[in-house]
Amino acid sequence: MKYRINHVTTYRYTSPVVLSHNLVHLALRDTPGQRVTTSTLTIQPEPSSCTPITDAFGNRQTLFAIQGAHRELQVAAIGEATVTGVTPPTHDHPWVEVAKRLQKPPNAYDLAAAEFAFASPLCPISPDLKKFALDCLRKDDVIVGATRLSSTIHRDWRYDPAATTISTPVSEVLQQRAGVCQDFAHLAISALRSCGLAARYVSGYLETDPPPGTVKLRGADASHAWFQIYLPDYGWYDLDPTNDCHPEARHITCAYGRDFSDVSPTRGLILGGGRADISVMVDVDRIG
Amino acid sequence: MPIPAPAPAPLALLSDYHPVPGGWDECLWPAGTIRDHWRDTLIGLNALGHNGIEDRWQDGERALRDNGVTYAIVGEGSDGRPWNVDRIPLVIGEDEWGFIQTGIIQRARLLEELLHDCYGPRRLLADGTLSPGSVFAHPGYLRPCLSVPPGGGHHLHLLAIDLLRTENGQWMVTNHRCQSPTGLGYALENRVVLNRAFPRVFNSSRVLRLAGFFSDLLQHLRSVAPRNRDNPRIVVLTPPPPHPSSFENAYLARYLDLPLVRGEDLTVRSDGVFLKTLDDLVPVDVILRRVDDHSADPLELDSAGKAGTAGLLHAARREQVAIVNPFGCSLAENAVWLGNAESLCQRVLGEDLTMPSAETRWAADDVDGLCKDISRYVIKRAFRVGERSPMHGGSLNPEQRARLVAEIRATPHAFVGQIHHDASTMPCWSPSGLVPRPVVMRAFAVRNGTGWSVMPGGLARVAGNEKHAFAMQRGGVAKDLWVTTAGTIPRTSLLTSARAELPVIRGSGQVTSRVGDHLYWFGRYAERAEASARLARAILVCQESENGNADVLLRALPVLRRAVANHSNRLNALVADGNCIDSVRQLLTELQRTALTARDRLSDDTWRMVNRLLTMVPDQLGDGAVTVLDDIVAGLVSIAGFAKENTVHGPAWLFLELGRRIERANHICALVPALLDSAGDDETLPELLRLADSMITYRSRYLTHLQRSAVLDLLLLDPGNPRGLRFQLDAILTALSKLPTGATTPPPRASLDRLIALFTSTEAGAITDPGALLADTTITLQGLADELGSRYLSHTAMSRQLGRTSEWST
Repeated sequence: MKYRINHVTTYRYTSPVVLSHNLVHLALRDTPGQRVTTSTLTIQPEPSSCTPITDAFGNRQTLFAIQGAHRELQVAAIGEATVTGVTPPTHDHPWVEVAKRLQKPPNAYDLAAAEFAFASPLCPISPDLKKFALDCLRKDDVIVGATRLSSTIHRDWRYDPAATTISTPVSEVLQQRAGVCQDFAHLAISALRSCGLAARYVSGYLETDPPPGTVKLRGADASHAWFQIYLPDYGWYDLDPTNDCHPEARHITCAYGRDFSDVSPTRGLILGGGRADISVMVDVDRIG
Repeated sequence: MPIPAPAPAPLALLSDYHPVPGGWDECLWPAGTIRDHWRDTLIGLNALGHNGIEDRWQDGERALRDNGVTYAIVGEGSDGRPWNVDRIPLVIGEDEWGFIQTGIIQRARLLEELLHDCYGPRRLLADGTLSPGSVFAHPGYLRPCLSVPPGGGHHLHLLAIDLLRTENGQWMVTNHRCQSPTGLGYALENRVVLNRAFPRVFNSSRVLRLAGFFSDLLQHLRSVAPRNRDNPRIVVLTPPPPHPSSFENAYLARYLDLPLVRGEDLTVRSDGVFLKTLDDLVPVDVILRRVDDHSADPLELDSAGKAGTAGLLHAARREQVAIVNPFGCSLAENAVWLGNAESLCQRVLGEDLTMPSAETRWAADDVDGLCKDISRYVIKRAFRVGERSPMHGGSLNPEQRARLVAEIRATPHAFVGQIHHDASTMPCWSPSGLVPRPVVMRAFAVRNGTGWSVMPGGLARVAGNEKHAFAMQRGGVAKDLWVTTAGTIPRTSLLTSARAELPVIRGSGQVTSRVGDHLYWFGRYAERAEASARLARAILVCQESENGNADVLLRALPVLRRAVANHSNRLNALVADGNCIDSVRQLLTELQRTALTARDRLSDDTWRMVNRLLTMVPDQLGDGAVTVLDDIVAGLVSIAGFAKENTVHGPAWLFLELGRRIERANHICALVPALLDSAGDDETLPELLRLADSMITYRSRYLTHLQRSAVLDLLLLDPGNPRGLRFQLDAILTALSKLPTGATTPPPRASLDRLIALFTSTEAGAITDPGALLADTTITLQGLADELGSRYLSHTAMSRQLGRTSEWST
């Protein structure tokens, strides 16, 4: 499948902003199951400095600053990618052995994966999370166990945008059994890492269908988040707890990280500005 | 080890000093004889005698108090508790110091290699030398720094290690401090105090000087500048107060003669770092950072980082600024690496480790082993986050121990256990004589052109009454550390190390907007405190002489000082009550706070007086209060004098002057109607003149004949009376006209011109009701103060985080 993602963020300020520093993770990235063909970033007003950087996890981030009074800032990212999905693994490993192997990684792949086996700013590890993970993993193989964990979240956690905010900690998501896709990804990652497994956060998009008989609304899509679990001698395996599925050709990947804090789509600091209104318009279109 | 010398005549000073048998004492051999390198020092102190030491120490303590040395404890406000320095220094011979010197340099080289690898090729991770958890689980492994070349080409420029000597005489390292090691400023301060108290003993002990180390530090900071190497602009970046190291950072910056700045004083423009001054942005080349790295850039590092500046990391990435130590090096404050130092040193440097680490086991390696034997260990955080005190497994009760074990088992990566050693003891002062106390120390190293320089000295600490509590927050006591030599003492001072010719600079350098703000408020608080003290004194004097005006003044009090109205004992609230924001005590506290933040702009005399004033305020108003208030008023007047005579009349001074003049003008505007209206007759004229400190002037003109119009003329209209209103207006106008004009311009003076014209054309006899004129003045001045703030001081505003992103799912 070929997709075009149009992601436009607009900030409107009630009084002029004299300086703004921004960091965005908006460019799509290549993955084993996805090839990026086009990627552009348009910033209005013209930035005084703008630097594209490949971050520690291979994502393409952009740092830019805007100097001089402005009341509006628009960041428009357009990306096109062909998504094929990856061949599913033909083997699986007992999770206990995987966890053991990550402590002393025998090869470069396992070492790289081990970076995602420890607590990170938004994904703590704890006995409670471990207990939750153990109930799902049982004595099974890692993909089987992680899939069960993802399904358990889908079954037992309510999708409720009002239940959490951007700063709700995972421990609370575990208790209150409600949240949004980002919370579910963080919950799964934290639980799996509490058992010593390697799991990482994926920020991206999902192709959606309009309700039957209606026309798809423009700008009504949104960014999405899910997670990946590491299987030695295979690589990373995607799981989407929000939709209880193994993402294949309808999930478009933007960036990987240890958690949201590594890959938040837009982040910025401003001087001045009064109140800021933020609007985000996302379109995910299949173009081939 | 040198052979014990034959027993000399016993020293009276040591007659009751008995080290713990079986332990190691720094100053005595087990047989009770004095170790060689201590002899000169002890003989010198002994010659002073117990009382002589006491007397000399009073001098040292005064220096300490006057300099306001405190170790502010986070959460206890900015005043903190006094820095406690012991009278007896820790003496270490040059030979032995050589061993420590070699040890710290070797560690510096090792840690540099480890950091270089983790932020670069990661070979040591790939070949298993470093365990993945010791790096990946460390919150100080800052991923954004992977794309940032370290300033000056090195990850580590400044390093501290904590050391103790075990019972068998072996030095052991217990901590690496790699970010912005605290203690540099305190080590200097302790030296100044001991040197002041015992100059003869200091000289006869042949103590190596510290100045050479700081000269190397300064030289090194210059050398890492990415540009302007000849004359780079270097700043010291300090966290916002209250912070434990606020004072020492100010002290250090002052000693190095570098501007002390906070994150909000800096701004990043076009990827370069600039200092926000009152009128301009000034480029910065090198930052000696005293803030933790994760909090230093809210854009790329921790978004909650309040101590930082957005874009700082990227400026370092673009090599527009060098940051010392570079961000990301807290990774080396890694107790797992500390514990494995011996094998790491072998594998990475191919050398034997010269100075061992205290045995340190990582819970992630063997959580069962550690938890089983927990009473043998000091449990510490593996990766230093926050300032949590270590826990001594052996001194916990069963319940505490169970809780700790559960915590370790839940997150074994986060904990290490360090074998507990009883540190060596040394003599400490007590009223009854010298007593042995365990001592630990911190040594410092900085890069120089060819390798590393080690400070010949450092910060030693002895535990307070609580066992194992060396930390200052827990009542530990500091010691100066004397490294003594048999050879000659090289003399270095920071002055001789500076380049031969300095360009002549007029004015007093750049003033940051924040410092301008604090000086403005310093001026206001000083003036307000003085007015409050005069008011209280006037009331007390009237009461003592049974003058009826006491009641008039007491009735006027709530109008002049609104906060006093809510207190039952209004006079006490005006002076001593810490809960009343208008009390002399509170105003002096605020004065001290603003002085602390603008410390590098105030003369030492001003600072000493500010600290002394607060100690004068009585807890309760009682007998002798008038004398105390006399002293406080005199002290405040001398602060005003210092400000006028001992400060360059540049932009910084102008803000102080404006604050003082605006406050004084406001006070007269409130005072005159409050006293005249409430009396209805002219009975209060003498008090009015006294409160405005204008009695002498009045008498010299009119002798004893008191007349309302003459008093009003002197207090309101006379341009020659420095205590009068007109004088303040003229002074404000003069200051406004001298304010820097660059990116910002002074507030329009039209309103002030109008007011002055009005005062010029008014005749005292025609003022029947001064209230209207004075209300007009108050409103005009308020508008002016607001303008001043928004023009010059507003870019002190912090930048703020934008909301992040919206997201949902199907």
